[in-house]
Amino acid sequence: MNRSKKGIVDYVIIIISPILLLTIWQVVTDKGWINGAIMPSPKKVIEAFKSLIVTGKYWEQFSASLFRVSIGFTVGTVAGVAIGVLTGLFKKVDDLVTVIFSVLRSIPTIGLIPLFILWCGIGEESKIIIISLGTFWSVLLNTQRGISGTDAKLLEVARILQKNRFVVLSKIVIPAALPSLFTGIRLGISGAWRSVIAAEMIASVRGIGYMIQYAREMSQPAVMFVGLLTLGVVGLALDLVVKWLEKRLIYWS
Amino acid sequence: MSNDNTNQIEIHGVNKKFVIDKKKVDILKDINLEFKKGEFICIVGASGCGKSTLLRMISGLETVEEGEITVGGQKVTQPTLKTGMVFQESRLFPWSNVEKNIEFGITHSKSKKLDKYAKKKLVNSLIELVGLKGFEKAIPKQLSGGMQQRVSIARGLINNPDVLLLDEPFGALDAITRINMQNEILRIWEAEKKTMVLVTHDIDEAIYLGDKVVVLSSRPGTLRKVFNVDLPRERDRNSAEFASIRSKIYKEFFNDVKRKEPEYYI
Repeated sequence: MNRSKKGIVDYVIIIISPILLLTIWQVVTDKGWINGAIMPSPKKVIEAFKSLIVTGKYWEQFSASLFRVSIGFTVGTVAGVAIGVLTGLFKKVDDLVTVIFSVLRSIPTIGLIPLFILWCGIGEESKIIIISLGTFWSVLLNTQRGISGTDAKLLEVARILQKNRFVVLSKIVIPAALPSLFTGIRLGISGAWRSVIAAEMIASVRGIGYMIQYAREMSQPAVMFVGLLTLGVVGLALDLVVKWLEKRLIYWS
Repeated sequence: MSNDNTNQIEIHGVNKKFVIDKKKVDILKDINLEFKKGEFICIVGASGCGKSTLLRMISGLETVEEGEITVGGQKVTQPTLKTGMVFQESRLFPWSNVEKNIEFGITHSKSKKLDKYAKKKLVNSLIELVGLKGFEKAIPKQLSGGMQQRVSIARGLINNPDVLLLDEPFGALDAITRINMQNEILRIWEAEKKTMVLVTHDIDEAIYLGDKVVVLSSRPGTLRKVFNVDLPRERDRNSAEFASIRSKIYKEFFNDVKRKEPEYYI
């Protein structure tokens, strides 16, 4: 987005709608127009958040999810980039795996959770595999697209100058693929975040997903909202971090 | 304005066919040309006449299946460092700055022999030659089209080739920048004494720049005529001599067009 610098008025407009929403939410729940047992007021949510922080429970759940996502995302990204480079560079490798990959890719990751629980149990392994897969496909696809989509006109420049394959790869193909790779990473990180919650809701004793699920069983809607808001805020933060990195690393686009 | 009388480029009996829709189509037919060392050659023709293909064959980017092309006495079979090339699009790496883009031109073997300082000196001398001093650290998107093309010319010249091939290098530039760049390329040509072969569809550009103007007909591209332009530089586009050569070349084109069947029927 290439908008000119924002003034104070613009910030007010941006901030006004969430404040309005929170106010309405508070008023509606205070007046008892909505059943507090299923819809807690913002104040109650904040209180629940405070007590979760104080007792250390919040960090316990949050760190569990964060740990799984870090490992799973890293594994998925490394594998996605490696295989994406191979399939992007070599048409034969791409042909070899295209049918298998197309079918596997079409299976929603969540659908695979029971299978991995069956194979690996309900421990960390199954969750990390799920998260890796949630990252893997978008990184793979976008890396491959970036690599094979390298401008043939730039490759011709290298041919005229008799550059060897290593130079072509490191100086042209890889940098040319970076913007697309970053798109993959952005999709991948949101995929990872989605998958961890799904995995934790189905089979786990720790994590934000577990916290949300457990709060329902315990009839603690405020805790549920703490979990949901965490998902929203962390998802947004991850996206912003990647965007920020992208802007710095891909300075030319 | 040729420096001596040896032939830098010789093209003998060259035919070229492309396979389009499983049919072989003649692109170039029976091309015979000789360009002297240090000459500025312009090749003009309508779009699709095969003029760029001919240039790409001289560069070694396209194969020569029938006939023979030699550059500096050597048969062309693949790109060589004796031949530099500038394309219509500047083809710079958007992620590299001016210095790095030009430095990429340095060949592998030469690059190993030069230390960092020598490389920088070489790159700087070319930046100066093409008039981009002060823009060393700029990346392509910060440069105008004309400036990008200057970088591309510098990259094409960095290995000190005998021949510089230019494929419609100013075709994408606006009219004023175009005229500036025409003067620039003449200045560089006079300073570097390279043989330059420039492909264009702009007849005025060809007469303004070339010692010789090669006119190709369309589909398949055949050699219509080679005009010698003996006017002293800097040439006046409005002079009577310029106009007379222009009208002769126009005549070649119009005759060519008239002889052809229309491309579509109503």
